Order: sequence, then structure tokens, then C-alpha cells
Amino acid sequence: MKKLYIIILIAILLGNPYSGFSSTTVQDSLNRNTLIKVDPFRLEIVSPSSGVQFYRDGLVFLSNTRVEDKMVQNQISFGTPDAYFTVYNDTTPGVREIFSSSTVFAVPCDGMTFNKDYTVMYYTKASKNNPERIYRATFRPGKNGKSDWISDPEPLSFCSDRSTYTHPALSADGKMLVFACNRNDSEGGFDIYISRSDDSDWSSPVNAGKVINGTGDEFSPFLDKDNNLYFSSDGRKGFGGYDLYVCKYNGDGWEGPANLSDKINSRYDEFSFTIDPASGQSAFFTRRMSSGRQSLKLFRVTFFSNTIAGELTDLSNAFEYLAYGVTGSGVTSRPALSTSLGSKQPSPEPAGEKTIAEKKTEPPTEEKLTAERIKAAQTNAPEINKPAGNAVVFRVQFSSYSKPKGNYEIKAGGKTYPAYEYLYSGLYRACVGEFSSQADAVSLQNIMKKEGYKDAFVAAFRNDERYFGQIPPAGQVTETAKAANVPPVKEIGPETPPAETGSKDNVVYRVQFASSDKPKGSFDIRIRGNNYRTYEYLYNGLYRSCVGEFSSPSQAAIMQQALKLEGFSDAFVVAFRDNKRSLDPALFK
Amino acid sequence: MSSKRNLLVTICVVIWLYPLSGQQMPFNPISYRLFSPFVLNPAIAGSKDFFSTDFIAGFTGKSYSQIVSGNARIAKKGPKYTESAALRSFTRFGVGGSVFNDFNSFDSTYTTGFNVALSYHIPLNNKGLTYLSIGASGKGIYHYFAGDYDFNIPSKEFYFPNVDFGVYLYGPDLMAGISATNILGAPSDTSTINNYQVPVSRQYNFIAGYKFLVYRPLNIVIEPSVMISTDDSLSFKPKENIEPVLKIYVGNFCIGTYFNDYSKVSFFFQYRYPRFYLGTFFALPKDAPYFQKSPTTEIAFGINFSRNRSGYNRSSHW
Repeated sequence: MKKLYIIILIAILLGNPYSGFSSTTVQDSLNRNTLIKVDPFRLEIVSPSSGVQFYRDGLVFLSNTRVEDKMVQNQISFGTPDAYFTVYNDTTPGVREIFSSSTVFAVPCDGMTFNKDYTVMYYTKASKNNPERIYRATFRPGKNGKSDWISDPEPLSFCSDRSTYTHPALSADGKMLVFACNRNDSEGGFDIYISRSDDSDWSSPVNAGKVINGTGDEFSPFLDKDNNLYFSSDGRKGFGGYDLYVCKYNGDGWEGPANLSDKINSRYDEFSFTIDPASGQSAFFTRRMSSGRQSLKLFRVTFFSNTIAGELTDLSNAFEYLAYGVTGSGVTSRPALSTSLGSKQPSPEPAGEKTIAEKKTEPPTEEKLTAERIKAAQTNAPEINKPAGNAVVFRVQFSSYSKPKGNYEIKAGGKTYPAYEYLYSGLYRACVGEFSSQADAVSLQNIMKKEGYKDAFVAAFRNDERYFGQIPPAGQVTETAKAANVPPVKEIGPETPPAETGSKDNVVYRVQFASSDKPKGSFDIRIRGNNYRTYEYLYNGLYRSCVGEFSSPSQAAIMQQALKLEGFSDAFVVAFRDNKRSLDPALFK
Repeated sequence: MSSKRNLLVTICVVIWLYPLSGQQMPFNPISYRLFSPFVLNPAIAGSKDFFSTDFIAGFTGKSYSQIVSGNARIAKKGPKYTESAALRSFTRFGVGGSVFNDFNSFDSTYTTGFNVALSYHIPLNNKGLTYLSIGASGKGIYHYFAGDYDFNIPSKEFYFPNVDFGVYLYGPDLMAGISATNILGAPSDTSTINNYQVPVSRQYNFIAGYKFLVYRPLNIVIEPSVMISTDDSLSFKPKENIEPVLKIYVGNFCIGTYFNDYSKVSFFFQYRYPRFYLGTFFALPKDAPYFQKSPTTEIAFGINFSRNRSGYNRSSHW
């Protein structure tokens, strides 16, 4: 009889797809309640801004010139609003600096949008006689020769003075601009409009259509790296007031909007949503608690720490998951999960009914999801499977300039290296070397640091563009690297020869972030708000500090990204077999 | 050029015609110099980015005085942004006004009047933190002398206008200003043998102070300042003409001392809430028991009526 009970119990548990005892899958590690965390961000929102925008490695926000004065704030009157930049900490802004020294940008900073290399900006400006309209500014040398933001005197050609054009958002490729506007052909109030670039000018705006635009106001649009459209609306079912919605981009247009769930939305108004385009690990939005300026509160969204060890690498995926119950990589949520955990989601709208391209899109089926998972798995395959031309190479970056320096050489370790220059985030970065192995690059980095290049660090490139993805297997030599006639650098070999190639027994992955000639022991390090215990090992005469212990390199890569966000720009994934460093390429497959 | 010379000569003649000895108007309550100093220098009107009204009442023995005042920088509508509340920005003009009443039991006089001030503020840097302002105010004053029946001196009434002028430099930590008050002096009654002179004279005032940041986490700031006043006689006795002030700010709280009368020990404190403040001023005689010399007690109350106009959430501040 007892055996029967046990069998029945096991059968119930196995048969219940929502029980916590089902086989461990990616989905099981995702939990709506522990997927993201939303923390208040201590930054005063100054009119006419309603939020913040990501810019380079930090945020651009509107503040007042009084903050620059050394006197305490409650002793100062007046000052003028202007845009500032800060590299922020967890929930507080860091040291702020003026965004543009030549132009006063007393405009909504949450409505600023930048191209990929931060050389072009679109923003809105209103005047006494004209409504809010979209302007373009470019980062170029000014009269004093210093590069700065210089605005066009006239707004974009499609902006009329009869309508209000607000909160532009540029797509990642810079070819599409979405914004909110109250033109005559709107569905009601403010609608989302789209304009496309033909390299010389922006096209006449097109209404995003009835699927996105309802009878209420739709405003504050944002496009993530995959062109998924986020916006705020009060014209559909939600949690009250203005809610944030996401429309998944399918290549031709957007699917129906889905509410970002009660993890983001509340009975108050939510708007000015933005995701860090560089890392995808941070997002901001604003909540208006009641009427009046003082009620605007800024919130930062990040992954929960345990999610870092999960499969989601970008908050876009997390928001997709919250909204649609499925991520771009095919990770699904199960309906009962949200129910059982108390996560609320308003009744979904008929998603995929119509896009701006008038394309019918069916709701995701299980077959489609499976196909997406397979596709995602292929996408996440190690770089070694890709053509050698796409392989990642490593260079040692040692300086940044606002102006290009052209061709020149530097000496390091008694050898002469030609400098390689590239433009990134609006600055010209100088590198030397080109290595197929990260370890080789680290060797050169160490030499350069000893010779005075204290800020030198290893940067990864793919197709001559800065690469932040998964680090390829160590030792992989690319065609590019072979052809580059790189000066020889001492080969760093594993302490112990790799065991059976391809075997992953007793293999763990850690993220190395520091080296020292003296032992530091194990200590606590704070990463994205959580404490981690470090692991130290001796390798090639230096004591190396690592953090984490993962069963797959992809999981470790997420921790690596988190470390980089904390300022450990040299962090990289290392493999250990039987607790000894291993450079076996097979371990990174 | 000649017109300027004529103007200068006219001003000199006017000044010469009123070489009167007397005092500031209003004279009491004393603490308006601390809580609403624009009454003493019209250029101070509008030097804060909020509109505060001040109600001050003082008592010294049987004497009493009140003053109600308010000053603000004039705001204007700014550009309209969709996702933002209606913006307002400041013009360069400041306005202020006050109504005062003073009964002096010592010489049995009543003085009632009003003051309307207008100021113009010139920004001295691009950050809009340091300004030079000039201001002028006009006054209407009613003065009543109750007379003295013992000496058969009849009561007398006077209505007379007056003018103040001032210049004020202010920034986050420095403030300095000069002003000439009661430029037109005061009338006298020479119609009877008992020549009566309204105790008001042209005054020249200088005020300067500097804020020292002591401890940022607690917003502790010390502000020593000085007020120097003299009249046309240009007589100068340090203990009569120099009035030091020391203010210590700790967040929203301010405590300090004001040597308006060296024979008294005085202190004041003030607490600012976002929408109103409370303040008080005491002056106790030093060289006599308090029951022989009446202490001065003044209370101040201010309400901030302004909307947030410069994106600054703390509408009321020092």
C-alpha cells in the first residue's frame, strides 16, 4: 500500500507540469518574481525631462547648474537647467559632468536618442512660439576645435509647426526613427509614428497602425537592439494610468502590444522606458505617483543575481518573457507559473493581428517555440563553429582620444607595435597587437602596464568591430591574426596538459578579473548588488582572482559581463579541470 | 552732460534740504532685517526663486510693531513639453511689498506705512547663480505724534512719501549690498513754537556676508555678516553703526545672533518647512535685570506661495 502511495505521488509530481520536481530545464530557472528587480534610483527629475537616457557608459539626464556649485543645495537659488552625464552606481548617480560645454540642452533628456557610435543625436525642443519638434545634433569639432554636440538650427524636415513631435527613438542600425505625435491622422491623442532614413533625409512619418495606436495616448517609444518597440499607453487594458507595453519586432513589423506586467506597471503612470544598448543589463523607467513634478520617481531595472547564472543575457529577453511569456531565445513561461506565484498580467490583446506592414502573425505555437529554441541554440553555438573570418581577435587598448591620431607606432617590451585605431562611443581608441588568444593579449597588456600604460586593457574585436559577446576558445588562431604578422609574445601554456580532449568531467568555469604577484586570498566582492566569494589560484607566477563557479562557459560569460559593468574590463572566462586551469579549446564548446 | 549735472545738483540740494537725524523707517520690528531684508534694500526683492510672505510681530514693553511683507522674482510661461508639467521660467524682474505699523510707547508715536519695491536682476555668469540687482521702492508713511498734555504740546499728524534705492550682489556664498533709504527724509512741523521733527532720516546701509560650508552631510553652513548704517551726518560710532550678525544653518534650521543693540544679548532661530517657516527673535538687556528693562520679543511666520518654477523640488530654502 505504501508503495502504491509513493508511485501515485511520483506520478502526480511527474504529471504535473508546474511542479517544482519536474526535470531541470532552462524554463525552470526562470521565475517572474525573481527574474528582474526594480529599485528606486536616487536622481531628481528636472522639468522638462521625464526620465533619463543611456549615453556612452552612463546616463544623460537633466539637472540644474546649481549642482555644480560647492555650496549645499538648500542654500542656492536659481541656476539654469542643463543636460549632464554621469556614470552611475547601483542606485545612485556618480560624479556628474556637463553633457555639452558649448550648447545648453535644457530639453527632455529621456527624449534624446543616439546612433550606435554616439556621433548623431535626435532630441526635441520647444520654443515659446513653436510646439515640441525633433532636432538633430552631431558630435563634431566646434569653433574651438574641441568636439562637442552641435545642433542643427532647424528641426527635421517632416516636423510641422502644427503638431507636437516628442520622444524620438532611433533603431540600433540608425535607419528607423519612432516618435510620438498628435498629427491629424492619429487614432486619438498621441500616436506612435515611424520615419525611415534614406541616407539623405527622413521619410514622411507613417502612423504605426491600429494594433499599436489606440484611442488613448501612446507616447514615450523606445526601440531595443532587436527593434522591439516599447511605449507607454493609457488606451488599453492595464494596471491603471499609463502602462508600459512591448511590441515584438518580427522583421517586417510589430506584433500586438503586451503589457510589461505588474513587475513594471502599477496603478500609477509609467513611461520613459529605456534599456542600456551596450550591455542590456540595465533599464530605467519613470513612475508618476500623482500629479505634479515632485511625484516623478525614477526606477532602475536589473536582473536578479540568480538570473545572471541563468540563460537570459539581455533585459530585452526578460521583458519579452514578462510580457509574452516567451523570450527571443525561446525560453517560455508556463501559464500556471504566473498564477501560482501571484504575478499578474492583464488580459492579452489579440497579438499579431496586424503590423504596420499589414502582416498577419499567428500567436506562437508550441511547434514554433520549439523551432525558435533550436534556432536560438544554433545562435548560441560557440564561435569556433563560425567561419574563421568572423573569429574574435584581441587587441590591447591603451588610450582614447576625441580626435583621430592616424598611423603611429609605440614601443612596448622592447618591440615596436603599430597602433590600431577605431571609433567607439564617440571617441577614437588606440590599440596594439592582434591576438587570437586572450592570454597572449593579456601578456602584452601586462608588459604595457609595467611600461606606463596603466589603463591598458584587452578588448575583443570581430570583423574589426568591438565585440562584447562570448569569448571564443583560447588558442584559436584566426586567418586575420595569422596574416597580421604580430610580434611574438610568450606563449602561456596550461599548468597541466589537458586531459582527454572534449571531456568535461570535473570541469568548472570561473571568471578571472585580477592578477597579482602577491597572494590576496579569498575575499568578498560586490557585483551588481550581490556579494561573491573570490577564488584564488597560482598560474604562471601570478596569483589570479576569480569569481563564480559555473558548469557552462555561457553562464560564466554572463558573470563576465556583470564584472565588466562593475569596471573589471579585463574580466574573462577561464576553465578549470580538476581545479586546475585548462586551456583546452574543447572545454569552451 | 549738463542734464546729468543738473540732476546731480538737484539730488545734492534735496539731500541738503533734509539733513535730518533720525532712524530707519520702518524701525521695528527689528527682525525684519533678518527675515525679510528686502525692506531695507529693495534690490534684494526677488533674489530667491520662491515667493515667500512674512508676518512679523514684535513687543518691547508697551511698544509693539508689525510688518507683513512679501517678495518674489516674476515668472513667465516657458515652452510647453508634452511629457512635462507646464514650465515656467524667471524673468529678470523682482517685486516686493510690505505694510508696517509701529507704536512707540516711549515717545507716544504711531507710524504706519507701506512700501512697494521693484528690482532688476542681471546674471553675472552663464550658470545663472550669481546676480547683480538694482532696485527701488516707494513708500507712503503716516506718522502720528500724540503730543504731551503736561507741556501743552498738541498732537500732530504727518503724511509723507519716501523713496529707497539699492544695489545687491548675490551668489551661492557671497552677498553684499548697499542701499539708501528714506531718501526724501521726513517733514517737520515748524508752525508752532513746539517744533516737531518726524524721527526719520535718510539712511545709508551696507550689508555683506559670506557663507562657509562647514559640513556637507548635515548641510551645516556658517554665515557671518555685517550691517553698517549711517545717516547724512556720517557720524560713525562702531557700537552704534556696525551691527554684526552670525547665522548657523543646520539643514532646515537656523540659529544666530544679531547685535542690533550692544546693550542687549540677542538671538534668533528659524525653521523652514517646504511651505512655511517659523522664526523668533529675542533681545535681553545685559546690564540690568530683565524686569527693569523690557525684553524684546518678536515672532515671525512665513508662507511660501510659489509653485516650483526652476525644477527645484525644495521650494523653500535659505
